Amino acid sequence: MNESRKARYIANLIGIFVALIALFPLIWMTISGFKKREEVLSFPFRFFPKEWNFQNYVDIIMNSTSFFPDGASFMTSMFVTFGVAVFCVIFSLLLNSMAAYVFARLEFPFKKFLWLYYMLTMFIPGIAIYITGFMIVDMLNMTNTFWVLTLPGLAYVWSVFFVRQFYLNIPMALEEAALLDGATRFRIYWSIFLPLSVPPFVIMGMNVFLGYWSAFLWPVMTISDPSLYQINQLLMFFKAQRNTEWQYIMAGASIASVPPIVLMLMFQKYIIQGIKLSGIK
Amino acid sequence: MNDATARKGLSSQKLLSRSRQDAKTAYAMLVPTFILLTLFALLPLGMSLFKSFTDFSFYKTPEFIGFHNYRIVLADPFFRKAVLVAFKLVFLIVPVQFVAAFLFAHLIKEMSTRIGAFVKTTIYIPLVISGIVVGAVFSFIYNYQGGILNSLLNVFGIENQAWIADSTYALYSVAAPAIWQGFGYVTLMMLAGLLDIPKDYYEAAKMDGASAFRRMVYITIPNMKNVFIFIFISGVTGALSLYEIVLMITNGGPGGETLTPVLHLVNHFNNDPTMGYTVAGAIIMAIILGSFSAVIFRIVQSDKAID
Repeated sequence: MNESRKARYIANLIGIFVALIALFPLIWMTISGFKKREEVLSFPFRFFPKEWNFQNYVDIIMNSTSFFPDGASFMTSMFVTFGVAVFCVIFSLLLNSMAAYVFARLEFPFKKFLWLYYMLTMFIPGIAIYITGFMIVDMLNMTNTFWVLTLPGLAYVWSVFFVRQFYLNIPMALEEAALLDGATRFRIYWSIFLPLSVPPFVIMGMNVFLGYWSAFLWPVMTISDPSLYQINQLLMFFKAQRNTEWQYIMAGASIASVPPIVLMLMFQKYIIQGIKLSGIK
Repeated sequence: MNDATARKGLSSQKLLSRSRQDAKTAYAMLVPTFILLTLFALLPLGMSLFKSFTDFSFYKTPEFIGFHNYRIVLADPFFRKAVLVAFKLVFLIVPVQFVAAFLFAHLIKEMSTRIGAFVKTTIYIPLVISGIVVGAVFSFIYNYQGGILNSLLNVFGIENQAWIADSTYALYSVAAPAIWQGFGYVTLMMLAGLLDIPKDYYEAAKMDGASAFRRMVYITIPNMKNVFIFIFISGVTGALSLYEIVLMITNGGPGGETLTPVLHLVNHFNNDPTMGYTVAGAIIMAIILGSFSAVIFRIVQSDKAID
């Protein structure tokens, strides 16, 4: 008994230590954002700032346009990135779950072929299609639009795949009753399957959001209009242009990390579920 | 009797029209994803494949040149070195992450409920941070003069090291943030796998007097096989396609010591008009990465079949 309590005590201690290591770079980034320029890489070393100085954060939020020659603004970029991500969460869940329903429940000619066609896309790494994908959006005159950021990633077969698995486990009885009552298939998808889809939707939605919030290479290739800059694109330019002003870079990086962390904390109970849902045993 | 056949005929007719109706609905509901996938995934893939056999650039009409681009890419010392760097990163990142996560997952099982929950949430946080932010923070940590890593080492009497510019350390400096970022996710995968193993297996083995080591070898490891493969392969593909972190920390330097294939191809795309090279290089990477993810998929698929 005593032995096992000691084991638990040690496990807790190591656990907290590891958790602190996991958090440390982020804590360090946030603290450094509060330092003044002369202090941020100062010698001798100080962990906390002499005085907590909010100016870097205020500057980034209120008047970051002065940082960039082309007039990009940090908060505009935050809002645009957020808008892109939210738009994509909503429409990718809708479109992909529709496809998932079709593949889970309907019989139709060429079903097998279409399923293979869809699944093929899961094995295409981004690098293989970025350049020619860029040529296509360029031909369609889509560069420097909201659509070039949103449309290319909307159809996502990993989502179709996992939502389909979830739908396959929904009992037939529910929809048989609805079919006898003369409900259309779309109606069944809309009023029976969609409302049941919350757990996979939270997980997939979170993945989609985080994917768009981290997006970098595609925006860099397709967006040169500063009013559409995605947040990572802006941070990269920021570091390249003002590479000695770490207090600003760290403040900007901290602000940019708030939405994904908040989202993750809001839905943390689904994360473990999501890992289970991925179904590897 | 007659009545029944009539009803049967009617219902099969109904079924037929139903299935025709179903087909129409099915196609209608697939249209958006079908168009998007075709336009933004399969068409670009087809174009990449086609262009990789031409001397295409943005400035001239392409001509068919067979495997010429592939020969050039595969003979290019820079591309070869980039692939080598990628595999070095795999060896630096995957085993460390794997072993550390496996041990730590066991440890989490021993923790009290509250601390365990706190730890599980906390170690997951790095995963949601973008590669660009991770790269920015770590290059700040590695800063030569006054960076926190050198400042801490100074306390122990160790002189400042050029973590990013010195070829002895550069690759480790890139691998460390990648390990840090993926550690929580891998741990939680391991934990989910461990918790899935029925407790009776262990109890039965204990009754039979099996040692902890034997329980690990004969119960834990066989039952975790698929989790292990999944983690291993997704770790490999992740490490092979590292880009943002490297771009931010070393930008491939010093002297190409940390130049990964993706970074190399993107640089090539930006600086060189011979697009055929870039596309052929991308296809080679796609074949490497795609064959790894095909293995992952087979694992996911096989389990679903059992469920």
